[in-house]
Amino acid sequence: MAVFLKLSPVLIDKKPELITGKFLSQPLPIKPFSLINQYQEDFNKEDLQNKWSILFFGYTNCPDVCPTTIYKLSEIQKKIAQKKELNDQLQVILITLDPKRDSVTRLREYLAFFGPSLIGLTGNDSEISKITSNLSVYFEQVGKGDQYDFNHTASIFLIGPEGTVIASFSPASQSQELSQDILNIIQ
Amino acid sequence: MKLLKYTVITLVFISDISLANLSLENSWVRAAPMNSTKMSAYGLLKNNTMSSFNLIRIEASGFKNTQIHQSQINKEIMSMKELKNFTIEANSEIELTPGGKHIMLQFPMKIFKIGDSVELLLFFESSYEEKVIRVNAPIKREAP
Repeated sequence: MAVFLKLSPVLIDKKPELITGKFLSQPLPIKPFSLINQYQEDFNKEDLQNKWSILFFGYTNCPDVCPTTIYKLSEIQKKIAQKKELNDQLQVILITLDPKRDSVTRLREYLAFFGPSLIGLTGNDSEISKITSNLSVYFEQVGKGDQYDFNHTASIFLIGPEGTVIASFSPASQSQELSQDILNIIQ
Repeated sequence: MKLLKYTVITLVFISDISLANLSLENSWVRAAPMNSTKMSAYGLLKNNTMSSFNLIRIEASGFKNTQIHQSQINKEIMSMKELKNFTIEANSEIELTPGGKHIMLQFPMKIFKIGDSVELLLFFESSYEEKVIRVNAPIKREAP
């Protein structure tokens, strides 16, 4: 009995094995930030609580990795939304690294293409820097004029209902594996 | 000079199912939201000849500019660069795929919808000949 009681905390806290992602050693709290979504509504760290959130940083002029990832995440969101008990429990959020070109109008038009429920966030440079610094997201503008691109951290972050980052996934993850990992965590 | 240098100029018109010796198979273009300034084309580039070929130019109908780019992810950081020298070796294949090498199509001059296609012309040269691949790459949400 004593042995069982000693083992119980380990059994209760056991996390699922992830195929393609990794849990953070400690959940990372989100620090205060103030952005707006594609409908010009305020969005801050309180909006990350009481539901699961998948967070990705990118920009709408990205031709390859960003649209590939956003498409993948939108499909995962649709799949999870089909499960009645999880419906509305997961939000997928793109935070732009390019607020100069990614206006609310552009974000609205861009994300509507991938699905009706995706959230796009923009704001001024200092507010975006608050959350990129918080999550150690690197980004660097490459090129000049109107046709610049970004090198940037392309990790996919999973934020729990407590509003803390609990896991991250590679953007190179296969859709099926990413979907399974996320489902295993949030179910 | 080119007439002296090259003995054969071959124009190869192919579909995705091809018996040609230089080909781009299973080509597709990822559909993009309206007003996007860039789109990407992918496929499997095959060289079944005994010579290596250099890509010297790409043209895409309906786009002002076309380049070959490579995305790469290193320690979770995504970067992208133009490949100014692109060679496909003899008897080899190169996959143009999301997150890797791809054809970047810049500044569309019309609206492309799912179900449309983009005519791609890829101009190659080896030490003794030129080849041109022409494919019609369909616009799709995801790889076929």
